[in-house]
Formats: sequence, C-alpha cells, structure tokens
Amino acid sequence: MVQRSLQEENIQMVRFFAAAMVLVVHIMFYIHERIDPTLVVWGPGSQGVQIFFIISGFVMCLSGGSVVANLSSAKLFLERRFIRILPLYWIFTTIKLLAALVFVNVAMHNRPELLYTIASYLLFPMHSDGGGIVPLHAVGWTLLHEMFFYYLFAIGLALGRSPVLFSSISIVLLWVIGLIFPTETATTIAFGCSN
Amino acid sequence: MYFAILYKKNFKLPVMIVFPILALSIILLVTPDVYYYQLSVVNKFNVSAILFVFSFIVTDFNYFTKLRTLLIKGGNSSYSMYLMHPIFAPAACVGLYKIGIQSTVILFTASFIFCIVLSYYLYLYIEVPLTSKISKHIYKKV
Repeated sequence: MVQRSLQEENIQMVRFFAAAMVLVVHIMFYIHERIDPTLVVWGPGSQGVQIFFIISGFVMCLSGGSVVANLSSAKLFLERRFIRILPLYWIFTTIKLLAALVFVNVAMHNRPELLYTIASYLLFPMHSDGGGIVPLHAVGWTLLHEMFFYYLFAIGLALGRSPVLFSSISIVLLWVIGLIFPTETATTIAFGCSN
Repeated sequence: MYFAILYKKNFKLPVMIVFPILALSIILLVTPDVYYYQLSVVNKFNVSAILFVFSFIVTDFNYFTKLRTLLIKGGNSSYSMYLMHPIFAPAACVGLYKIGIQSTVILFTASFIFCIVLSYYLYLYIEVPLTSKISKHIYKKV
C-alpha cells in the first residue's frame, strides 16, 4: 500500500468537495426540471468543475516535472491517462446511450445519432442537439478539455520539451488565437467558448 | 504550476494564516452575488477556486480524523461520482417522488446520500478492478 502524504490526502478531500458541489447543483437542477420548478438551483456550485480543473493541472505539473521527455514517455503517459479516464467513461456513456434508446421520454437532452455517438465515445468535440459542445454523456464536456490538455502534454513530452512549459505556452497561445479568431475550431471549442 | 513548485518545496503556512484564506475562498465560492454579478472577475479567473485549492496544498489539515477519512474516501470515488450521478441522481429523485416523497429537502438529501454511497461502491467494485485489470493486461505484454 502506497503511503500518502497529508497534502496528497488533502487533495483527495478537495476532489470530494468539488464533486459534491457539482452533485448538489445537478440534483437541484433535476428536481427543478422534473419535479418542482419553483426550486432555485444553486448556480455557484458549478464552480466545483473549476476546482477539478485546477487539481488536474496541479497533478499534471507535479507528475510531469520529473519525467524524461521523449516519445516513449509520451506514449506511456497517454496510455495511463486513457486507462484512467476512458473505461469508466465508456461504461456510463453506454448506459446513457441505452437509456436514451429505451426510455426515449425519460432520458432528456440526448440525441443518439451515429456520428455524434462515435464522437462522444472518442471524446471528440461535437455539437449536441442543444447547440453546446457536449458529448452524449453530458458531464463528459470536462473530459474534452482534459483530453485536449493531455494531448498537449503528450506532444510536449514527445518533442523532448518540458511538458508543463509546452502545454502552458500552447494553451495561452491557443487562447489568444481564440480571442482573435472566435470561430468554433477545435482549439476555440476547448478554450475560447467559455469566454 | 506554482502550486506544484510550492508542493515540491514542501512549502507550508500556519493554520492561522490559511484559515482566513480558506474562509474567504468558501465565501467567494458559495455566494451567488459573487458568482453572478458583482465580482465576476473573481469568477472569471477562478480566484475563489484557486484560493480554495491553495489552502489545502499549503497546510496539513489533520483534524476530525474520522470525518477526514470519509472525505478522503469520497475523494477517491469522485470520478465515479462525477460520471454516475447524471444517470442515477435523476432516477433517485423521480423514483422517490413516485413512491410518495413530496418534500424537496428530503428528495435532495436522500438523492445526495444515495449518489455518494453508490459511487463509493462503484469505485471499489468497478473502477478499481477494471483499471487494474486493463493495466495488467496492457503492461503484461511489455
């Protein structure tokens, strides 16, 4: 069993707070939408997602700082990220897909068309029925951002550069490009849309 | 990036300094006025979220050991919780409502606890075995 430091455990606690905040907002939203429209949804709770992103960046910086940057480390990094992210995401996307197909009237906000479904499984950004860029399992929108960050990180490793520096510079550059050319390309989907 | 540097250097602040920062971050995080209107710049640059995470990185909160253990377990299962709740939380809300529970407070509380407990078991019995099995399968070949 790996011994964790107090601070690592603190990070786990922060993860819980972040997830709980998102959970609170969504449960309130479900009650508001399906049962009691008078219930006011607690909007600030959605900042739990920002906390998740900050923790994710922190962990990446922590783990990426000591890695030897080359092609094989990039491959290993992506493999590990895929193993961590995708299997569980695929399971819940499949459940969501089945629910959308079987309980058409119950499962809301879904459009299980072939191309959209494939894009959702691959975490490729694509417009949903509602107009936003969200996958079939809607909370996966954060994973689109995460994967984009991981790809940048892996490219940095593969190029033999500091992945932290490479991804940071790339993100800032893409953000600036997104501000200058506000079109919905993959880069602006990832970083420009939220502006 | 700066957090990682602080962490690696084992930078610590006394709890007496961290608590006001934590309190401020929580106030900024949970106040709708901050979120929606008055201090939108705080929200835009995630100052509140940054301060919140910072507070936990630079100090050793080692109080309320039992609660802490529960929160850490909750943190471990946070990915499961994040992915499962859009499927199970509405089902729990609607299911409870259909069996006659009308109070939104009870509906909310019951669904919240249900999701946390279920996500912990999903983490234990699906997430961990699944990821370790896949890892073993992939790295066995190497």
